[in-house]
Amino acid sequence: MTSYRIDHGGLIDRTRPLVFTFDGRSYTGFDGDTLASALLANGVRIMGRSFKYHRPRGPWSAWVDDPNAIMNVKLNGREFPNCAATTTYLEDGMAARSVNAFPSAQFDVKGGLDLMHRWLTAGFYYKTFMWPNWHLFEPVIRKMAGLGEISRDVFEDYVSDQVHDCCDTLVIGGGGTGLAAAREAVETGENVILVDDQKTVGGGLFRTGLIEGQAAADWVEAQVAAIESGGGRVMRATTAFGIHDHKLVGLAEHGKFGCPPRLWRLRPGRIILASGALDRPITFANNDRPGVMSLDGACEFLARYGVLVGRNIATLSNNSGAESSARTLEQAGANVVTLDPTAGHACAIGGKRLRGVELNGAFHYADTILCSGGQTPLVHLWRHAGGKLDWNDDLQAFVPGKAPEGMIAVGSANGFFDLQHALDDARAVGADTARPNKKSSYKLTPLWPKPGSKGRQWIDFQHDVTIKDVELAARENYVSVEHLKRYTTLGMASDQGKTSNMSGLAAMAAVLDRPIPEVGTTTFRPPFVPQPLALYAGQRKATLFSPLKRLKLEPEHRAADAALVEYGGWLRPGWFGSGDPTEHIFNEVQLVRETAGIFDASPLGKIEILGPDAEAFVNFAFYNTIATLKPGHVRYGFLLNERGIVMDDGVVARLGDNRFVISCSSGHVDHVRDHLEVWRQDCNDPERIFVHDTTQHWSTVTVTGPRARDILEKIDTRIELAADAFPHMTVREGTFDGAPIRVARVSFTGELSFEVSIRNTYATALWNALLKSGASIGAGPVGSEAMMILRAEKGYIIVGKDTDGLTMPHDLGFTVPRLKKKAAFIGDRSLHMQVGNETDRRALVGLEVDTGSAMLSTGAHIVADGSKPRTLGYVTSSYDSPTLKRPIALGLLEQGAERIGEKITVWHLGKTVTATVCPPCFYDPEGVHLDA
Amino acid sequence: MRDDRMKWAPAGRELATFEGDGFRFQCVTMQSQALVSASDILTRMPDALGWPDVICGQSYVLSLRRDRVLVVNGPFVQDGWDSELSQAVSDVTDALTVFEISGPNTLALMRRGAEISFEAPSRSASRLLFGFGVFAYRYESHDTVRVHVNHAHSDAFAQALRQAATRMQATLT
Amino acid sequence: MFQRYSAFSLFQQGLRSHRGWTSAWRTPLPKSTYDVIIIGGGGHGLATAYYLARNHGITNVAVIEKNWLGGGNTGRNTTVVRSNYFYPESVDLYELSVKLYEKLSRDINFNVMFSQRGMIVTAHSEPEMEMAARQVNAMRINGTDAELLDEAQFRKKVPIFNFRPDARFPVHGAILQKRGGTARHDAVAWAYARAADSAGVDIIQNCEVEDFIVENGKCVGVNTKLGEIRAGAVGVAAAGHSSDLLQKVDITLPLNSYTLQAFVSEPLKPVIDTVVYCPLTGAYVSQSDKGGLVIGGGLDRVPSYGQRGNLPMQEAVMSGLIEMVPLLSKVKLLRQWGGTVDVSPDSSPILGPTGMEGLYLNCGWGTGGFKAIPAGGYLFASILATGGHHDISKPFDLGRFITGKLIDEAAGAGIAH
Repeated sequence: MTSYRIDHGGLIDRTRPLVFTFDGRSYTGFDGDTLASALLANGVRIMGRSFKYHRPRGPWSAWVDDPNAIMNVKLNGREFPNCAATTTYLEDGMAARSVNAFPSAQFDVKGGLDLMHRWLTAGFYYKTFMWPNWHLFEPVIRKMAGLGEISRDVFEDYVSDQVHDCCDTLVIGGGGTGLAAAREAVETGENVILVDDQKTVGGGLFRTGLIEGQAAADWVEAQVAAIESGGGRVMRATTAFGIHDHKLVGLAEHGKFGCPPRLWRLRPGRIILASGALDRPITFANNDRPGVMSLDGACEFLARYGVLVGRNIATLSNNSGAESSARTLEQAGANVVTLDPTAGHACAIGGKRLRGVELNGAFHYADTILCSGGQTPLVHLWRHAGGKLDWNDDLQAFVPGKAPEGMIAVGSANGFFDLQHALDDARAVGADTARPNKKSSYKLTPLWPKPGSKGRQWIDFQHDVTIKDVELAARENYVSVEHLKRYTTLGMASDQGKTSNMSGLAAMAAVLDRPIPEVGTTTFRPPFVPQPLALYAGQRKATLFSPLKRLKLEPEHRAADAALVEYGGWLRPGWFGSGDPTEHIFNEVQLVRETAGIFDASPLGKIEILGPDAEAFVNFAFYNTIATLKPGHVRYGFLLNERGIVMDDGVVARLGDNRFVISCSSGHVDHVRDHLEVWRQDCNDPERIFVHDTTQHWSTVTVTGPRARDILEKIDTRIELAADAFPHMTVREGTFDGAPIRVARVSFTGELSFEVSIRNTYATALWNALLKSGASIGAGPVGSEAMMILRAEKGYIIVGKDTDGLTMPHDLGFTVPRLKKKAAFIGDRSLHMQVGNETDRRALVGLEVDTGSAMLSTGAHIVADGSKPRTLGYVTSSYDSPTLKRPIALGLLEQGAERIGEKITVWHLGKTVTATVCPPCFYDPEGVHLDA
Repeated sequence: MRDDRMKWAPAGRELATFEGDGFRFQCVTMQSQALVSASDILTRMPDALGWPDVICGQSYVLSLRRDRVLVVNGPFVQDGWDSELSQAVSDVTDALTVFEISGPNTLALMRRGAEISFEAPSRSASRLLFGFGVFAYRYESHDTVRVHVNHAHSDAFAQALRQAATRMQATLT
Repeated sequence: MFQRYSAFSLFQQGLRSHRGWTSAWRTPLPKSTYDVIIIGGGGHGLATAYYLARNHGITNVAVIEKNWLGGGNTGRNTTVVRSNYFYPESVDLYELSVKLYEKLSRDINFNVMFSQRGMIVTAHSEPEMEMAARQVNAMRINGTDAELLDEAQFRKKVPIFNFRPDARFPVHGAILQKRGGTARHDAVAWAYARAADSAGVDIIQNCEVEDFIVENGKCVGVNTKLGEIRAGAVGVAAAGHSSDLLQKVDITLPLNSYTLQAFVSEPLKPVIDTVVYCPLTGAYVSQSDKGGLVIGGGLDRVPSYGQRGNLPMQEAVMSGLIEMVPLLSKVKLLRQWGGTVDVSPDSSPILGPTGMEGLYLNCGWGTGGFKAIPAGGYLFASILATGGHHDISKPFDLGRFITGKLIDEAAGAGIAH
């Protein structure tokens, strides 16, 4: 056993042992361990395999920057893919398994791929697999790619809570500087939130000895107590994963394993970035071997988990920060030899087990090699927010430069590696006072990858990118940092380049013989660490995803055995009765034609236009002339968009000199209302026109059929219903049960129809009264499916079904306003564009099938005959008509008006039938029934 | 068409009163709600309130936009255009379902559906809450909020609120 | 000299530690004149240069790119290739592209990994199935492949889709274009760059065009960071930046630039082997050959050149995806990014003359430019070489916004917007 648990220290609770398995073997750890620390404590070092060559991998570090120890983890019957062992806290009963390795990480059958590495270099797949084509090779490559398997189970209740919040100051990072800054900010009276992604705040402090005279744990506790007692909030296990425009910070608050994290959308007044810095790898031969680890990482394993990563440690470092780490490890019981890699060539010796390190030809025995190539400030969030970076030559690192508005960096995130200096600086920032000016004592000798040097030297451990790959990229001229990254795939693994970006950049800089800052950096993008999709999705699912609007009368419909269908954004009766709908719908159509049907038309829009300019505005909004409409009268019309396309149809009722109600189609209400609100402010005076959407105040019950008047007469409405007193296309006001009602004689079915509108509170009473009255003569409720057939029999269009985004009103036979209406209206000029004047435009027609044939398919194309079929139009509505006892159809057809009587060919999914063009009205073309 | 009667819980069920951890949610009946629009409406009705004003009393006026208010439980006014007063009036009493959320966790619950705080004022009571366009304001006490929701979406709104409450109460541990 | 890629050359070079590979393209300094200048070194610009050389024998060409080649939308998209459009004009255009993609790797000797794994668009009601039928018929009549799947056939193709009783949008069926699929986006840019370069085209990277040189009303070249460069014809293929460029010569284009976000998940073992788009959730997904799920959705509807996008849209897309495939809630998002898409009033591209002599346009591809790279290049080359339209590019002329003959795909599907 190389790594082991020492008998003291760490933040783990040694009184609470936990049992878990990895690749089928059972182990014990403690509460507070991560999977990685617990495995190391048990001497297990190989925790995964690299993506391409399947080389054995052990953890590089102890936290988010580890690219190697990726596992699928199962707990309580649910397996989560691609968990980072270094950031997954241990729980009793966890079953972890390595990914992309079979049968285990220790023994992977695909380990042999490494023998082919010579040919499996960066971008090799661009140079081959072309013959015969990619499809021959793709399935194998796909199976070999990918990390974890994903369970096909849906995890019910894996739904994230999502919440908005705000504060004065957000401190990102609960290490020494974060805590100091937060405390100061709290003490100035600010509303402060501090977030840290670990369960125990304190960052890297537990690695150091005393802080301002106190033991780390005590010092941390004191700061936390001060922050919390001052009203500040300390959020643990919470990752700030992204900063978006206008300082919207995304936080993922993590809980127990298997719980969906909580999303915080936090809007702080200012942000103090104390996110720390990462220990940098050193690039040398065989540096990817298990046992080659981060020096800081090893100290973290010791400090937080009481795990010593090796017994005989060789350290390789180029900076002044490494010395104290080496001493700490020695004090814990390891044999440590410190080596200076800056002077020569290093090589790790060993395979799955490290035997030692060779430096400039001299062999040093070691079972573990700990590297520290310098510190890389974690500037991801700084860059998300648009902050700039400066290259610091002394630190050989990119540090925060020009700040985004309202953001400031402190501590090692800012390149301050001296703890006391960083604390003083952070306190000044927290209190918003002048920042002290001090020189750093941190020393570093530049140590970067040396292209051309011997041996295989890794840049990206997960994607198996080596210096040779960078040299190859340079050789082939993929020299910009983005080309380099995309060609070699370095930095694109699940760690998003936390350990590979700098060495990759430096390697390219060396190859090009240019300074590192000239090569540039890649773009930093959220999320800082991968986040479950559930975090973003929240509870927007099932019936909460785009929820339907509900009718006031829904309970009545359900009681009457209605089939409720989704249409136009509403849930409404499609037909009444259970089982196969065909007969129910058939009967409802006949009922309306012979007696009467009672239909819930509540979704129809009721948008009122009010004001001294109401008449002019409605006349402007509509294609038809509305200015001549008299109070008490109703007119059918089209709303066009600026392109002259029919956007919606509906009826306009004039209730008074300065009051109109637009009854637009149910699915378009919001769109029409918004359209009218826009146009009221453009080309019109908004002080004299107001748009009130009263749609949902009203329920509307339509009684339609030859006996409709009889039904209405039986209920008391105070309205004179006789034909001469109440003609077609007029509106009357009355009362029912003391409540005001409006009754319009408007018909969508071609039969005598009364649309009775009443406020919702009285809707049930009205509905029941009409139903009772109707029942006495054999009338009953009908649904939307029957209405669709009835209106088609009359040739009444449905906008968006019998029209499309090219249909202009003259295509539908409404030609007069285009030629004669003088007043300006929306879309008027577009109607006369070249395209509007063309003679082959598609017009609305009716279609009759050959005798005995089946009905046409909606969506079928009408085609010109010839060697290559050409679309002349479409079948837009098609039904078996119960009234006419034969199929009927509507469609759009080039020069339709001139082709009445012609036989045409209808093409559908490769088959053709013939049909005859006829006028688009199959029932009562004179409108005798309407005027009853 | 597809029969979805089983897919959607019967309308009305979600509107029942429910209590959660630190909040209570119930439906409130209004006598009347009227939209009143005029170009100078806010000067005419300086008592029209927004957020985070605490609105008191039986009758009050909500400021919705610079040319529109909602008069709640006001005196009866005829629907239509009043040419003397130069204002447009529409009765929308049954167009808006009114909910009341009260208790110490009211704001925490609302924050599940909107970026809202007492420190961020708004002249208008209009906002998006759980994706629905609503009117929301504080009523009578500092931790009570009334929300006016389009009638047809009242079930969905209540459902969204309930689910958010469940999420809020579920712990991460 | 063009170095042929093949399994054999790969094997040989492997033995020599790959020291024998040469540049995929040169890094030349610009000359003072060319026959043709193309502004924009993305997929379209590079493809244009290639086809100028290959189809028209015109090799004295410069592609001028302000950053690094392929670094704009070509390197930021969700890699989908398809020709499932409605109008014959669109089908002709995108079909040309699919056909060119089918042979591309072998034609220009670079594996772009074109995978014809199928493009599926779902339908969730009877009316939607009717519109799907209309779309399938349109595609077949116009000469491309399309199938109308029923629910059972769709389920076989995408077993992980949401078939639960509480699915918000139960599937009724879908449109399948078998020949649609994905391609490796960077590889497409690199392939064309290498092929054009080897034919003699100069690709000038990191060279921003500052202004046009106009003499007697004719565009005769450009002013760049590296000096003046003159040409017989100048073609602009600058996607989201087309409007600002053309503003320099007072030409206003009917374009708005928005951010379109895209996403990739952590790499997973294969779970889906086709591309699925659900119009009602607004999200679509496929799985790359590396294992990550590539996810896309709608625009951030605020005009911007930020290439970032914001959280609300991310939430909208992810909730749409989870509603389509609920089992994915446990998968982790690895990275999001954005591109700047130039959207025209009919969401169809603008190809052809600008009205100023010597200056030509290839833009307005909006969210759909990647699939059209080969066709865009092929047609733009024809326009630049001849000064006039190819049959397929003609309907996409800028003048259509005056005649009103828009090619509005969404309109064709019935939506009047």
